[in-house]
Amino acid sequence: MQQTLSVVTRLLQDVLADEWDDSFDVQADTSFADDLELESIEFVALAERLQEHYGNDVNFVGWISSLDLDGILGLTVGDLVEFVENR
Amino acid sequence: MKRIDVGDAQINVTERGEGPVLVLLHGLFVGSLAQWYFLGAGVFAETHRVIFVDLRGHGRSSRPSTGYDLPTLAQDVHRVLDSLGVDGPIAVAGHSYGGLVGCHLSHLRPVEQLVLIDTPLPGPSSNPALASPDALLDALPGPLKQVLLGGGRRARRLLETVRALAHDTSLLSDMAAEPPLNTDSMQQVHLIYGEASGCLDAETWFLEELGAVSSERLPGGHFLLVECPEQIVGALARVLRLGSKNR
Repeated sequence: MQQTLSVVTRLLQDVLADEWDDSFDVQADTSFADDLELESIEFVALAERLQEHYGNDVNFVGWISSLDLDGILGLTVGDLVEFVENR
Repeated sequence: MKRIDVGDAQINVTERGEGPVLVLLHGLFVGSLAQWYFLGAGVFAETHRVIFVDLRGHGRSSRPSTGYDLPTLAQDVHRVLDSLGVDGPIAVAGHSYGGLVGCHLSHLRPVEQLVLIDTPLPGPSSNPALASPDALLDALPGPLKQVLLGGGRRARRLLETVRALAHDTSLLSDMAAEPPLNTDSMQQVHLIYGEASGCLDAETWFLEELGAVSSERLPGGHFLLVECPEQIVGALARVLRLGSKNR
């Protein structure tokens, strides 16, 4: 769990670049929309980095495509970590 | 995602999958490749090389102050496709103004299947929802409106994009100055419009001008990618299957 959380945090940092705040405390219940306030294009950037990192092992994009907009907006970091670890 | 230099702009693009090329284009002001990505990246990438483009000024593309006329917007996409080594016929699906970009793209390279999703006619629009950036924001569907009303970073960035496009670029004047469409190179056009859309005059025009291949109505308004995602995927899948049979 912790390792996946670190990966996701690092990739988020990449995506948010200048806007990354070191005081962001990314945990399982951190929500992409409400807490991190990611724009959808930033979410795409994150999805691509995750796909790149985990390779064909994990079908992120397929999973995200199966969610509707409400689903994506409600996603937490924990949901992502769970998806990775249950692959 | 990467940015491709097209001269006076850097165009953000991403792609997934292999096979016949499908180019997905978003609408103006509030659009970006993200809208198509969540719909198209999974399903269509199983059978197609899906290319998602951010029009200039939108998403992660750069925002030059000029060049928002349809020929230039289409030229941007054309150059991106050249850069990606796409030289055969392509299928294009465009939502709203993205559909018009697709029409103009067919002047530059063969577009085998052209899907227009709630696409208005060029020039001053008769659709009240598209009359101004404020009207557009007002007409946003539920989930997107919630983002706006919630305030916060996403609302700020959305509003900033709309403001910058409206006030710092030639977009509005370019839109208003668009001449009528030249439909000569347009073939295999498929229309998808919302039942409650304010762009149905455009649907009528396309049907009369082109004798379009197919036309369907979905239970929604203008923002069909958000309002009817499953039906959009279904409709697009049918069009692409039709296309592959004719090959």
